[in-house]
Amino acid sequence: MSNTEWESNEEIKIFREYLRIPTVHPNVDYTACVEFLKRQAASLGLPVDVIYPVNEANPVVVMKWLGKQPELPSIILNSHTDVVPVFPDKWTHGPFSADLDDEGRIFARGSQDMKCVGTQYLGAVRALKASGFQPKRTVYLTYVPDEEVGGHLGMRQLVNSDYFKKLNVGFSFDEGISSEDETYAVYYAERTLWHLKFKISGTAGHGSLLLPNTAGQKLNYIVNKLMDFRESQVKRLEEDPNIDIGDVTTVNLTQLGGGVQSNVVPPSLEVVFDIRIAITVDIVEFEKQIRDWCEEAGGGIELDFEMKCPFVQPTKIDESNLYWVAFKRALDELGLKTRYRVFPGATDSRYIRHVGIPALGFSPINKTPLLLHDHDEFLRADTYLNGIEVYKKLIPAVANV
Amino acid sequence: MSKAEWENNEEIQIFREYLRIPTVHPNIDYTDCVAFLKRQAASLDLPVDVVYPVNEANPVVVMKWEGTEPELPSIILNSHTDVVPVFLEKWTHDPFSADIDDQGRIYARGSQDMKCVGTQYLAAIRALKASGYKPKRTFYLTYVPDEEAGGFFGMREFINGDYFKSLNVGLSLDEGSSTLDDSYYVYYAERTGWQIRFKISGTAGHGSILLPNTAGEKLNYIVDKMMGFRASQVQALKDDKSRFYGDVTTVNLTIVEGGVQRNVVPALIEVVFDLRIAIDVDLVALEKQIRDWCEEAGGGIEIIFEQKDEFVPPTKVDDSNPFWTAFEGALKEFDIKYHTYVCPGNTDSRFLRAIGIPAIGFSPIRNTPILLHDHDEYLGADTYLEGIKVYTKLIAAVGNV
Repeated sequence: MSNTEWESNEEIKIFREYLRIPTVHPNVDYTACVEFLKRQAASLGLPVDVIYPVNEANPVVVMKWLGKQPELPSIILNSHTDVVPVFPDKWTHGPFSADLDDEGRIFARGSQDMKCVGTQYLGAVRALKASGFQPKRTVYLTYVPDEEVGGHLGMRQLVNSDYFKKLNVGFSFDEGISSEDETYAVYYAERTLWHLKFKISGTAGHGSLLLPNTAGQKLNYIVNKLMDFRESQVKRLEEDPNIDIGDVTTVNLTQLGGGVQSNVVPPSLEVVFDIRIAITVDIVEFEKQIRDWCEEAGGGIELDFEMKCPFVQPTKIDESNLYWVAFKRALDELGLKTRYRVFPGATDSRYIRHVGIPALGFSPINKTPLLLHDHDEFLRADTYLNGIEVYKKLIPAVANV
Repeated sequence: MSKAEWENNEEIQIFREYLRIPTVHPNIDYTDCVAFLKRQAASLDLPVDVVYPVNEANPVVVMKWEGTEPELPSIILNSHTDVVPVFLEKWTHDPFSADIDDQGRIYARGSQDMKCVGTQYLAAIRALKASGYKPKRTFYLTYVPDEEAGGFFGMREFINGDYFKSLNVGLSLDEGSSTLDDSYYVYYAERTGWQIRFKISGTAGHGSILLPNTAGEKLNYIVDKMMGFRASQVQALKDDKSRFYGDVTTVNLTIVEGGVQRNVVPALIEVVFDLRIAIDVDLVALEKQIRDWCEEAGGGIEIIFEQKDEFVPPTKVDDSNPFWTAFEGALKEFDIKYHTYVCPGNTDSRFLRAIGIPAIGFSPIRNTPILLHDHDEYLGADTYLEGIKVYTKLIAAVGNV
């Protein structure tokens, strides 16, 4: 396509309109976003609800496409409406401009993560309806806020509500990540996230003495153990070409603090680690190992889990999961090369899986650099349109299980 | 002696009067202290000057006991007038009460560090004058402020002035420390103080990935090396019981900071170490070693010396130093063991040694817990009086070199 063709394409226009609504953290105002989504629902002839699981500032928009057998468990096509902050001086295009360049690249925060998916769902539904298709199962398009900051004001509460329970959800679609090569990634699980603070106490006193059991010595021991473990995971990645980051446990030192005066040995030091535990690891054993290290370090170390997500069962990617069977067959029939992976970060799918609903994370983006949360985030117009084609096959396949 | 006898003892009374003047950091008012010292000078018939090397708030009081050969280099009997803060709730006696209990313990901030020495000098001179003794060399009793805060408003500037130069000082006596056993410690050198801040930069990004060359990994390397060095010094002390604290290098982690968000790998982490470097260590080689460690860690580490004292040559404690021969000779007349050591802490003696003046650090306190800077700091009345006897001999000996 040419630049003018992309610009006059109706689906591209809708996508760019969505991108221009700056639902950016912090203090997101979702008003214009909700209005936009209501207009989209109206144009598709779909009834729409706006509900507030937590507070008035955080709306969830739910469009309903009634199925032929609405008593069957439904399908949700989920996407989040919020986007992460930008550093405008680092962008070559306005981050909410949705500028389209000569190569067809559409520049905006959210172009990959994940407004594309939100409007691609609509584009697919539009095409399917126009062809006369009605799904067996009811399909809900859910637009949730707050995902980028943990979803506490969005999906986490939504899944516990009576409203959600009434939706009788059997399967969920949500975001994946763009892929740099020709393959597409499909995510069936996430690692278990901990934010763990070590509050280390030790002998305090004057800097001129070699006191025993100081907090500094204990910090050394703990950081050593965790960094050695980190190194072991780096090696695993290097040595096995068949695994990727979602298959190993990541450990990162993210915060630390302690001490007031340069010549005084402080009574306490704190260090925080971001830990994402691979789904193959025994979490109870892992925690015990860490507690053992604290004892070996000399004791006097308090573990404060600032975040301790529960282990969430992966969605089955075998014959026992009929939704997966249909999903995979659809992608295979499209000739797409796929890889099934554990998601490296965290998405709303974890809340869905946690209440026992199978979920797959998938963004129909390939041969595109990973720019989520980065400057000059863009998506090619052709890739966007191709994604709609993919959903046109995927949605009926799964909705007709 | 009994409590009543101690209370009636004139020297004890003078000591306790001095202790009751609360010259305590921060924001010390030295007015009453100066007035007290002037009265003492008057009672000993010694001319007295009050000079202000830095500002009006920080006086140096100088009493002069002229010798019979005043053209010879003089001797200063130095002591600092300021004391460190107290945590009131942790004291069983008011820290400025100079309460004396039934065992003769005099409780006050400064009773060991170091008002005792300040009034013991006066008592010794009183005794010597009464005996008709006249020293060959002129003695100056110098009472300086601010030592506990680094001496910036006291000795450090005092020695740079013309007034000090006119004193023509050949030897200094200043504080040592108390000892737990029945020996005295005599200090002839101090370790070199460095405070090093490592500003560690590394790859930043999301907490869910294993980026290379992160600040956390580099911190681990640096802390490992510094703590390894520390452990070697602890071992050196264990391996050789004749070694004293001051003979090894002390390393302590005192401040650590970095990171803003729990799920973000920080671009910068800072860690501060306090070092007191043993006098037999090659400082150039040590600095190179530290810089090498930073390179090995992966580079991107800026080293900032928040303190970098120069090496100060030790005072000779052998027979090449006639002052030492006299000092040692006088000490030997008492049946008291003594050790010559490198001082583990920092005192004003280092400023004098740095300009080539021999300085001996000595406090005649033995069989006493080390309570400088601690709660319930006390000095036994008998120990105080014994100290006067020792100074009487010492001063007479060095005064006649």
